Amino acid sequence: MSTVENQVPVFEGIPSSEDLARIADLLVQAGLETIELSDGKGARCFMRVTAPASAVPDAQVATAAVPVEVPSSDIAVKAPYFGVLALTDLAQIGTLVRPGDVVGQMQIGALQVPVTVPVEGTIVDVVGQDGVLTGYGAVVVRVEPAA
Amino acid sequence: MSDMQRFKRVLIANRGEIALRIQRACRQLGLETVAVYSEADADSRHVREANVALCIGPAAASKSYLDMEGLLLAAKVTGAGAIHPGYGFLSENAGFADAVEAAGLTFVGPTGDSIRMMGDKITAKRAMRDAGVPCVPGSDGPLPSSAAEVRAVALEVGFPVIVKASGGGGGRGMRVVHSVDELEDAVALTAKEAQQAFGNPTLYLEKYMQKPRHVEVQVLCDTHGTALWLGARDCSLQRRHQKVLEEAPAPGIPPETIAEIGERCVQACRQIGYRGAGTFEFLYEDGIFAFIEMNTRVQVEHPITEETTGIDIVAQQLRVAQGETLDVRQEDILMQGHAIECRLNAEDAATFMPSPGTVTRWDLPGGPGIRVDTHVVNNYTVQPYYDSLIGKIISYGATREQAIARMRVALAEMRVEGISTNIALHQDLLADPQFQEGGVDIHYLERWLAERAPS
Repeated sequence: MSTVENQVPVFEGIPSSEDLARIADLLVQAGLETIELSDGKGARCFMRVTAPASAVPDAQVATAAVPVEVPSSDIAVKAPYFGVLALTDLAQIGTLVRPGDVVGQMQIGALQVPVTVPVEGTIVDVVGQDGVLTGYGAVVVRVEPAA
Repeated sequence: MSDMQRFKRVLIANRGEIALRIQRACRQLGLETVAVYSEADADSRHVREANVALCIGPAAASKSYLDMEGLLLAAKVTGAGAIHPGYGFLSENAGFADAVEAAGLTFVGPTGDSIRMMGDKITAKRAMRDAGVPCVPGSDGPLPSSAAEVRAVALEVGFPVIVKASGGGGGRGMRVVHSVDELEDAVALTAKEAQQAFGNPTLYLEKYMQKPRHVEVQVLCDTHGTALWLGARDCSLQRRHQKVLEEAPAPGIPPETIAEIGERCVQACRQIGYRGAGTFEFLYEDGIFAFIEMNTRVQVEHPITEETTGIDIVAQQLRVAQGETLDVRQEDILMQGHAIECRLNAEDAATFMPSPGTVTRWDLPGGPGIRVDTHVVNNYTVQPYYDSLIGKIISYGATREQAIARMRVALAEMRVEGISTNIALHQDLLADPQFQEGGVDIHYLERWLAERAPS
């Protein structure tokens, strides 16, 4: 154990992907399954190596799980920031949009963050409400991608 | 409260049980709340119950609960007049406290200068020593550069000594030295590590206490010169520097001793112009108190002090932030009875690995002297992104024995399904004869766990 401890990078927040891969390699080499890193101030990082010894180690980090997107035919265009939503003229059902088109602005005082469409297609639903305080990640419009 | 309120709406820059705790205090004082949350916390109870709820970012704390600019913008767009940081996250970030006040808002906590002073171990210790707070014998400042001078300091303090990084904390950047032969190498190595880890090679040296207890004193100060101490808590049961179970008062330490330390703590608060709630942490061994650090925020274990003093610490933080005068006098604060807090974590009982998932059954205990602070409800999903604290059971009794007995029944009543918890660990600890006797040291739990571990 002590050999692994001496080689594991100093724990300061979530390790970089390079460090994660390095720690995973060290675990496999040492024949260990799990490791807990802590900074003594409450931050902790757990890793478990799940792959069999012959395969490439697959490190899972408790703090970095990614939610799975549910596939659907239309695409939700979400608010990239919070603020008061100001919809643009494009934000109407039936409008043809192209990548980069701006369907709304998230406004906080003078700050404006545009809501841009990522694909070419047709707006099939306008979910966001003009003039309403809107949170990060809220759906603004839905776009049916062009075939 | 008076009509002269500085703020009517409080943004709670936190999550989990403490966000709910702060929200309750706000509502009881007639204040509105703004819950800011990450996408992962959209279904949280305090979010549902807030006057205004705003998702400010993704699950990653760096882009939500730790995003200073985002939090200030959220306060602006929601019309909040104050920000309560809770514990953890930005609660002890001096730059954030300054930025909040610079934006014309009220920071519910001490000034950035107070936070900064206590964040550096050498300046904190010096300030405490100047104010008459007992500190561990040591170098009284940075170690000199010459090996001979360091040796002289260590010999005067007496071995074993511990060499620590000024910028370190919480168990990192420190090394125990048992004899004068090891000293020079140990200092060189620790300085190198400190430079690498904290960008600051400054070291200091202290007498190493071998079997100390962790005893801490809660203080509460207003901006009109009143500073109160609210008794002591014993937080010696720790694993990896994380507190597991706390109790108030500290068993076996005479109230007169605590009163003397408490008076020195509030004297220090007056000298540095401290405001709000704070905690002085001490190591205690053989009747000697030694200051370790001051926490400039509300703590997880604050409820046990609330139970033994009858003072709502979070409500008082808000009142102090409004500029009100504390309407309690020291002589009116009676430390009565005994309180215990068990921290409930969503974690594997054997490995301590976090156990996120959906809680399918959540039956809470009750009865006289039982309080549960938790954000968890039935079907709540414990997120993997944050710490694993899912709640706290607090028991209160006229005596320590009664508090223990009530806690044991409460833990037996508690039913949690869908995730693993450390309830069984608490039950075993409460049944442990040494714990029941009281006064175990800070290494006790780790030793106890090592003895239980299957080899």
